[in-house]
Amino acid sequence: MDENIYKIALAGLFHDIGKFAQRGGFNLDTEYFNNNAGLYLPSYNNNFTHYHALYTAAFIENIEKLLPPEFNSANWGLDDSFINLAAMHHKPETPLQWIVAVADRTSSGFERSEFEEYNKGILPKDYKKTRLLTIFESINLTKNERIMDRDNYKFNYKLSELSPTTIFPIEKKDISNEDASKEYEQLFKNFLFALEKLEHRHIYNLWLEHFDTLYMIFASHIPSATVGNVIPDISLYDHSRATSAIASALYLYHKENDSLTIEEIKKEDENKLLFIRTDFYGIQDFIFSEGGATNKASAKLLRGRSFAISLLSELTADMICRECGLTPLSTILKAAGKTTIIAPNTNKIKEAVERVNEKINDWLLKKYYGEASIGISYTSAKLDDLSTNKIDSLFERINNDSEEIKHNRFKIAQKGGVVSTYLSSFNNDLSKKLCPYCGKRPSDVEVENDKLLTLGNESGSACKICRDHIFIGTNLVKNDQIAIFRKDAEIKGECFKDPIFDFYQISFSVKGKLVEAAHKGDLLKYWNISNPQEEGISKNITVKFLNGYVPVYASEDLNDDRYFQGDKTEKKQEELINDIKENKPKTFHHIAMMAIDKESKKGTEALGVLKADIDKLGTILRDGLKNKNISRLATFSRQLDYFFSIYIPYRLSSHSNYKDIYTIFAGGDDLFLIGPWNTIIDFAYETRKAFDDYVCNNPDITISAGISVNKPSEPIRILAEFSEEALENSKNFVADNGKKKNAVTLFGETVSWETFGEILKIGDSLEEWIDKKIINNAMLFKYNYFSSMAKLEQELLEKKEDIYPEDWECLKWKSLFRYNFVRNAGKSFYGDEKERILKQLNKTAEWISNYTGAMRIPIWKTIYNRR
Amino acid sequence: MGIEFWKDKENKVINPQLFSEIADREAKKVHNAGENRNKPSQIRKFYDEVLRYDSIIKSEQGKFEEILPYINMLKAKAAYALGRKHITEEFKELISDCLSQIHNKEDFDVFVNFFESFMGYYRFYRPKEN
Repeated sequence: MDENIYKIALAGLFHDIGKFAQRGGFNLDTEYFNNNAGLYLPSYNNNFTHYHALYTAAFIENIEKLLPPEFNSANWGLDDSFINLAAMHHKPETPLQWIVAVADRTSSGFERSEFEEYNKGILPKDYKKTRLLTIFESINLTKNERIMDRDNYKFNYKLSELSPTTIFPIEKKDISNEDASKEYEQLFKNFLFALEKLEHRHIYNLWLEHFDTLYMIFASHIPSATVGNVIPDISLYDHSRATSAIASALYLYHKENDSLTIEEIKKEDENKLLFIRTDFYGIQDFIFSEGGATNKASAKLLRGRSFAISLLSELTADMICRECGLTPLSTILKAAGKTTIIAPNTNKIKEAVERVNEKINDWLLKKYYGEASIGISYTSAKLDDLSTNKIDSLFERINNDSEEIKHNRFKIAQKGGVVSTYLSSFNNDLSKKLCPYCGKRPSDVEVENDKLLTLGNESGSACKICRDHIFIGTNLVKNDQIAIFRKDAEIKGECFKDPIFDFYQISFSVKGKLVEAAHKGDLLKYWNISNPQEEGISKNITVKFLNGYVPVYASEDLNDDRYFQGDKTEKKQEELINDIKENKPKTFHHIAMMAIDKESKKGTEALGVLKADIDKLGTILRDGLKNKNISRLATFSRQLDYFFSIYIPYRLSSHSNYKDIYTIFAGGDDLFLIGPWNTIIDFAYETRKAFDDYVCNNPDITISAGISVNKPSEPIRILAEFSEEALENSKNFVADNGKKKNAVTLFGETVSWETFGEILKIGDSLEEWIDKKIINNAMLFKYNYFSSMAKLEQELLEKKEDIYPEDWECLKWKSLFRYNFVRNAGKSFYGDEKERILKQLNKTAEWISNYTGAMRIPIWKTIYNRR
Repeated sequence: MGIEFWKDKENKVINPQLFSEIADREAKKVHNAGENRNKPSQIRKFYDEVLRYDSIIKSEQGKFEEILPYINMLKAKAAYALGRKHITEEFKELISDCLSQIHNKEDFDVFVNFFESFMGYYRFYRPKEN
């Protein structure tokens, strides 16, 4: 691998770091200024402009000792020094400096003329007061355009480190120059402090990824551009990342074509770039494949599988970058199983992509018999295609190319037909010949009686893949770090039995020897995967938000007598008690039991499965997002992802009400959770409110959800299907005002979120009435009957056709309600109290009349909660 | 405001408010009319009679045309009850208003359902036997 690529990639990432330094109060002394301003700064009307470039240079010089030593060594790689590569982007003189300059411009989506105008831009006096605005606020799908200029935004992000709380926008307030500077200074100081502590400085490939995380944490809320009329909603981090990726691709392109000249680099009408898109297919089958023992180990297994999907996606991107001679910084968009990489458009790269494709999918075919696969497509592009008015059609092409691959992902002629070795691969000496976890692969002698496979008192068989997934599921909850090695590296302690893509070995408990392995080139990745906490995100190594929240047993679970509820056999009870081991993931059966009220022991033991995703994301990206460029797209998709990958796990792990909710998946634009059914209902509603805050209450960005309530003994695949159907219903919802989607489905009823909030409150009243014996269960069933009649009545009246005598029945529900009311309501109450109660109860008729069928939701919630 | 059975009689579209808002309104009106009259037991007598005719028609023991005169006799019975001060003018009006709209079996069906709804509400307004 050409190590210069690291120099270029980091220069791209660092090119605007001077903006941070300048705003953060970095001290630029006069002598340095006099000696270097002329070198780095362009001028306009005889005045220097773009001071930040000078700050970039000065800052790099200042932190020399904190960078990997190679970066400041004169004889490492290319002629240009790292410092000049990063800092000469507004006054480029050499071909390599031009590469960074062109990448900078391209990532901002400027046309050449706009760029020159921008280049004259003089920093306003109060530039430190500018805070990052939110793209969400500007999304607009309605025809009557809201004109957004800088001043009519109501929200912005706090200038601060990335954390589960700071990712939410706050109301925009005027800030004094002094406070604005102070905030920047504090942030900058913390950045320097953390930079000093960054690990693996001597292994630049690891360090680069670590630094990327650090920059993400500190530069995500710094606006990239503050001059002129630019809307400051692109973060410095995303702009820098995009610049880095484009610069890297350009460098390899021109090197490969032997055209590293300024003239060639400036050409915009050549297809210099290759957008590589990877997409994971078969996620459902991957997660929900089942055998006889699946349900018993399901919590661990599912967690392992879902993490494995993230891992496979990450490592596919890594392998492509590796094979193409690019750094991990070339991956620019990542969401929900899809990644986009910017590479140079050369034959060598296309061959490399094909090699990776072959290797990865052969492995997947061998292990998953074609159920899971990764589509890898590529699309060539000119620099000019990234400009604001062309980027939509570029992404349309990328999506189309990716779709095409999806439909032709197997070469049937080569890969189709019977897996001829399948039957002969079974070993009849094993206790279970077919893996009891996936029900597909043969069990493997190598993992027979592996201690991870112990269920109750039995040890057992499994295939290596399922064993590895259980290995992940077991270790995720105990470990904050994951190390990825070359498969032949020497590793002490447990690791995968079947290295991913026959290349990547995974280990959780690596201590000591890391540095040695890193020096030997055996350690490829070292990630922190702990869930972000309020106080911030871990800062000493690379952070990946891949680990959802999983409920684990605590010591008090041993004293929980809810496990004895219901008509369980003694054996089952014993089994449930035996499962409780501190810090081990809770089984779904245990999670279901947490739906029972701890005090009264009332309630139904059942699981709630919540599936939710953002409505019309494609339309939002295409029509809602204005002034598109690659940096803005990156900021938008990353910010969206953080709601699911940072906020959701944070909320689950930090709020005691939700500690029993289990993440199957949360990231990109969707989430998939399992928990005690009643907690899931509350969480769904809360999450929608949080999402509203997250997107500045923009009515054009909405989320829909489907909830299914099931017994824990049902196969997880079925639960997933039910919740999927429920979500589908929400997506088809049309409100009275004509608005589509933005809805939730529960107990077979689909309602808008507003209605959902109102009827949940009704549910609280019903529960209170049951508790005070104002009504009984029979009454609830009557209410349920009336609500279904009211629903029929509503449908009938909307029909405006013949109403036949057979259909009349439902028209009488109000009268029946009254009749029933007098006969049953408030029987055991007298006098004034009775009057008061009757008045309260009378409200029910109004509710049923208003909400008709939707009343099923609070009624059944109450029935299940008080059973 | 009378008691309209149909919204569109020709196309058999029933008045959608008949069993709810109108039944409620009429029940309230009859209830308010007099504390010592219109006792549920008195009203019930009329309802029971209507139910009896309904079951005769439904069991096809008698043709609607044959029963109709008996149904119309309820008007006379109401006048008699009014004379005895068991009911008030309001209830008698209600009965005659309804009966005047009954020309065929469908009309009678509507009346039975309306009376049932009326009774539901009436029970609500006057729960006790007074």
